[in-house]
Amino acid sequence: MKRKDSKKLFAGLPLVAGEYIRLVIKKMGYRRKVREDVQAELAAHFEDALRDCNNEQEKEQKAQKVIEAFGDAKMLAILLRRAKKRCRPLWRTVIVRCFQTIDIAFICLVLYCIYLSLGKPTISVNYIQRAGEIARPVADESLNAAPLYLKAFEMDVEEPNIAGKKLLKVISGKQTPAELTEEELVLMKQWIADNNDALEIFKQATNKPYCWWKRQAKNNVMFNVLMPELSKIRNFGKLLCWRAKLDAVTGHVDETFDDVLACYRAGMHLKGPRSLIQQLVGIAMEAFACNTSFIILQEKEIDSPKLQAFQNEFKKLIASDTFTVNFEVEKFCFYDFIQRCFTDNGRGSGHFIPGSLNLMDLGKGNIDFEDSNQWNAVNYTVSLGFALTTANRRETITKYEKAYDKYEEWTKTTPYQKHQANFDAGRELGLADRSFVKVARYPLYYILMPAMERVIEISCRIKVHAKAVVTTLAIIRYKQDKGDYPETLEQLVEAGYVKEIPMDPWSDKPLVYKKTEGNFILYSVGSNFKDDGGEVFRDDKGKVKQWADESDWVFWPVPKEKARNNEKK
Amino acid sequence: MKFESQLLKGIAPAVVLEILSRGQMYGYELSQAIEQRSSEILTLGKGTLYPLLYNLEAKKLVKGKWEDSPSGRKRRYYSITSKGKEHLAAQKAQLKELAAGLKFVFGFGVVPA
Repeated sequence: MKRKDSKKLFAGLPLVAGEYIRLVIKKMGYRRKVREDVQAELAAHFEDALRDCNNEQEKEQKAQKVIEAFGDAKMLAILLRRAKKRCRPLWRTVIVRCFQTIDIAFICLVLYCIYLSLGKPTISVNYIQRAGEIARPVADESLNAAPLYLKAFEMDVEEPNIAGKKLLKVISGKQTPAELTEEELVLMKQWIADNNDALEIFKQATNKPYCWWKRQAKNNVMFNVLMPELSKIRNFGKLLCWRAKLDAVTGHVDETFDDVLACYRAGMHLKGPRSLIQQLVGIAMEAFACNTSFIILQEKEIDSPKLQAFQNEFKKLIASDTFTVNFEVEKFCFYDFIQRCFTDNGRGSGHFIPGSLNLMDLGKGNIDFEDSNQWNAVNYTVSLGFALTTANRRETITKYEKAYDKYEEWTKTTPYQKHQANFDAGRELGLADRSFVKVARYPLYYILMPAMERVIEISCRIKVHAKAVVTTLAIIRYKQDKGDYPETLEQLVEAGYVKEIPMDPWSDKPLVYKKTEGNFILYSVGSNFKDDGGEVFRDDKGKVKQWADESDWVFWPVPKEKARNNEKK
Repeated sequence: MKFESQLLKGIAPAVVLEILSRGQMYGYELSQAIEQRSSEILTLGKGTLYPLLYNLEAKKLVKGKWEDSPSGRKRRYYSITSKGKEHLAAQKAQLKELAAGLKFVFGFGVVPA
């Protein structure tokens, strides 16, 4: 309250009265408007009480008596405040109570956050070591391909650039050498020549039966495990495939097939009990080898014995390959995440620890942060949100384990069986219901799990892709030996070119084979489970989409890309 | 005579409402009226009067409004509401019963107005 206003109000009152009223109003500590009213009322009371006094001294004495009648200023202030509060209209009381509730809730939230932040994880298992143990067979170190891969990587000559981009970003693995521009072809040949020694070491590595790596990770966190070999192996695989295609053009057929098989073997080294990303790179490399095989068979006429040798070698590889996704290491990764990000309160129902995500480099690469403090702040905020909403440790583990068990079960059924059973992974795992409450309770579950079904599908695709290579080789051999293509795939089996008819997991029937005018067509019905008559899906630009959901997956004849470079030429 | 505060506290609202039922008054005037009407037997402490008035106002038994007084200073005049009148009637009936009861117990009459 302004001093000037109160001076006017207390005009004519003894000093002691004014001071008393001021003290009461100060102690009252309520809304300004109310205090002004009370002050005016008390001042009026004093004025009335002192009206009959004749002089200042008398006024002073009477004022003192009135003050005594009012009693203790603090007590009066409390009584006035309490009474005035009762006069408050309901809407104001509701607002005040709401704000009070919010204040209390906020204080509770802050205290709860402090409690959560004080949680400490219990690190009891070295999951990196355990993942290494299950990936490593009982075998001598001399049978390990990893040291030879590392040696090849050391000798690696860096990928050349073309128009400011890496060469392999500009050209596609599905292109033939004839489809490259002159500049691209020269660069590719030069790069292969420069890497000749490294490629030979790489091929030696692929001939080793096993491959295991010594893993390192920042803070020993499994999410941070470094896998520098992945991009290198992939590039070497692509390089081998390009060398194979170029060798095929020059007629070096033996070397051609050798390189394709080496690429496939390198892919196999990455499969089995390894992380999903490793398995996916392994599958991708096997796909490079399959695509390259088809391109070579399309572009070059190769005599039957050489094809037979290649077919036999390829068949052996497929027989020893695993086409089932392995979730073991992925589970370790999850368990490591749990033991580092959740407390263990002795009963296993600990809570998420804010700031624990700072240990991991999750998503860091996707965002440009000025410094690590900024990253840590973002990470802490996100993980604080997690801590407030996520389910406890036991519930989280149960939820994930159930999902992994289901995925492992689903790897044993074909896509067609799932289709027949009207199966929907999202529905089975509750991923379809993405309400805020559910996503907030299991955020990582909803981020990571939807991709798993796709991984299982990709592993099925490579199986049928590899079998299609073997079948195509057999069909071409049949034609060379018998003078015409077989009428059916059964004829191929009867003639001993393949042991069994290749099955299509998307129909649970044989791959579709049809003899055409001077050629044949071989395809899978694809993920729409419908025979579209061997139609290939092309996007608006005419680019072939190999594994499109809308069409068949045609292996032979090799679907032609839009002639990018031919147009240029 | 000085009454025990608890005893006075029980009847103070009824006394204030009774005085106000005869016309609107401001705080000081009301305290004077209580003393005069009770022949200075009932003296409501000033520290009790204003909180009591605010409580009655909160219960909507009285209503206060600022008006200019002849002296020029604004004063808050309190008047009884219809709800206050009903409350007063009920209180008076109860006090009458109480007085009758007390008469039987102590052998003297307490008759509220």
